[in-house]
Amino acid sequence: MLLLLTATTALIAINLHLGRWEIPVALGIAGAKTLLVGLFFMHLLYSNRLTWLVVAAGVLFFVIMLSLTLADYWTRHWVPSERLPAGWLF
Amino acid sequence: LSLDTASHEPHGLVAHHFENLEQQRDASSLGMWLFLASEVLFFGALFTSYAVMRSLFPRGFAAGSNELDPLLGGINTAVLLTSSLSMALGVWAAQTSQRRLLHVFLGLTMLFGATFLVIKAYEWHHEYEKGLVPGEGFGHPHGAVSQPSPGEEHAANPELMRQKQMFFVFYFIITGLHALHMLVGLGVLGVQLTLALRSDFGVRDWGPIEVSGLYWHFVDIVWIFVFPLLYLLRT
Repeated sequence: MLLLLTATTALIAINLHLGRWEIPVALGIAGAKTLLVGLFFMHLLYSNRLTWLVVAAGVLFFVIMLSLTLADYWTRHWVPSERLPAGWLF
Repeated sequence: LSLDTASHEPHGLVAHHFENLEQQRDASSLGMWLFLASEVLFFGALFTSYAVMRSLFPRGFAAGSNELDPLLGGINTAVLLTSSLSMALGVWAAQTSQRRLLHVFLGLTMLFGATFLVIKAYEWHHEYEKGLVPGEGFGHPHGAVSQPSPGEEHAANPELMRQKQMFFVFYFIITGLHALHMLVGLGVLGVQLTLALRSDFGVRDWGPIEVSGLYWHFVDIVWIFVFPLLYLLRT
């Protein structure tokens, strides 16, 4: 399953030109693979709530760092608007 | 004050500050998870600055991506995912007290990990030859310093060249730090395999194997994101 997703992500990137959807699709597949590795290989499925709390804290603080930083840069008009996600600002 | 130890675990396995083996295992795995959460932010800072730079310089980053070989990167992703599967089977072998299988799977995991590093080293060498290492000679293939590289637009477009160089700064720092994590993982597994070969380490208490497995899977997850970010976003 994981190998299948790897093949999918590589083939999509090479053969299809998705334009502004390229990044969401590639990261979405990476997220799905991470979920599989975490739930099964790392036994998160059978882990206690304390472990889940630590994982959630790690992800949460990363999201805060990423979103606040990008919210700053992307609203300063330094970034070419055609590269921003669809519907972002104007 | 009760000095009566309720534990009936074999002597020497449980440190004196733990009630029993299960509590000890939970504590060590929680410790690893906490460390991994801090690692998320360590690599997260790199990914964040990558995101900022990529949105500022989309053309240079796409040009940089196109210099990389997605086939080699894809093979390496497959190799690493397979090593993770083998690692998970190694933890399972330890939990079910199958000593022989534990040796096999730890060995296989290390073999796949080493294969990854060999392919990575080959790629780095190739990029060095193509003159893609950031610095003074950037854009000049090795051994041809005075000639412009064939089919290159850099003479006409120094700005694109600067952006592309920025991509390769990220490329070498991110893949380099990831490879460093792989080396640490190989070292940990090497020690554990040696101990497991010499004694009943691992099958007696699978805690340590599980904890190093968590680390190994995390390094795999980092690569799962590195691969699309560096190799696949080409337009």
